[in-house]
Amino acid sequence: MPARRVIFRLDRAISDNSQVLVRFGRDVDVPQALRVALGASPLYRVLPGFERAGAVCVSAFIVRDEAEAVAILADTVWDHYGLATAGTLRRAGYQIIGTDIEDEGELIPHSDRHVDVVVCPYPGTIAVYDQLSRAERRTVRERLARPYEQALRLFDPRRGLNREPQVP
Amino acid sequence: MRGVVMSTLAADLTFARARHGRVYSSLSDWDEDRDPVVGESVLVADGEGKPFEAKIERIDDDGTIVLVVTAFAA
Repeated sequence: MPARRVIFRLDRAISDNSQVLVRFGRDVDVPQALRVALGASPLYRVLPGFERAGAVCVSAFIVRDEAEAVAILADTVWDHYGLATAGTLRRAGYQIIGTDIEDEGELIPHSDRHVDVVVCPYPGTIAVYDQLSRAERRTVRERLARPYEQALRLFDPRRGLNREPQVP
Repeated sequence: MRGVVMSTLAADLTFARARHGRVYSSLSDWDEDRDPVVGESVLVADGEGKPFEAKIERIDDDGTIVLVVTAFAA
C-alpha cells in the first residue's frame, strides 16, 4: 500500500464535554467503510495496547463546533458529515486516540485535529487482512460488520452542507 | 441498451481532492474472478452512498491499485 503512516499523539487533548468529533460522509455503505478500516488496521500497531495486530478504527476530527466542521468539510469531497461528542463515544465504550496521519511523507490536511475511534482490536489469531483469502476476508467482515456499524451510527444524524439533518 | 457493470473497490477518499484525485486500494479489495487491468474504469467507495467513478492508473508490485477519481482529477 502507499506510504501511509499513523503517528500516535499522546498530547492531543480530547475532553468529554467541549470537543466535538466529525466523521465525513454518510456511511450508508457499511461494508465498504469496513473494508477501508480493515485494510488500514495494521497501521494501528503503533497505538499502545494494539501492538500485536493493530486495530479497526473510525477516522474522525476534533472540531470546536458545527461551523468549524463545515469549514473543514469544504476541503474534502464530502457533502455530508456527522457529529458526536467524545463523551458520547466514551460512554458507549469506545477509546478515542489522537493520531496524525501521514500520506506519502506529508501530513493530511487537518491532521492536527485527527483522532481515531477504536472499534476493536484486529483479531490477533488471524493473518493481516490483505493476506487472507477471499473467503477468510468475507468471514472477518461478516464478524465485524455489526460492531463497526454500531460505531458509525453514533455520528448520526448525518448533516448535509445545508445543515439539514439527513436520513442515513 | 445494456449498462456496463463496473467493479467496486474500497479506498479512503477522505482527502482525495488534496491528492489530485489519486487514491489507493489493494488487490484484497478486488473481488472479481479476473485480474484488474490498467486503464480500466471502476467504482471506488468508502462508505458514502454513491461510489465515484475512477480509472486504474497503475498496479504496483505490492498489490497497490492506484486510482484516479475522475470527478476530482481536475
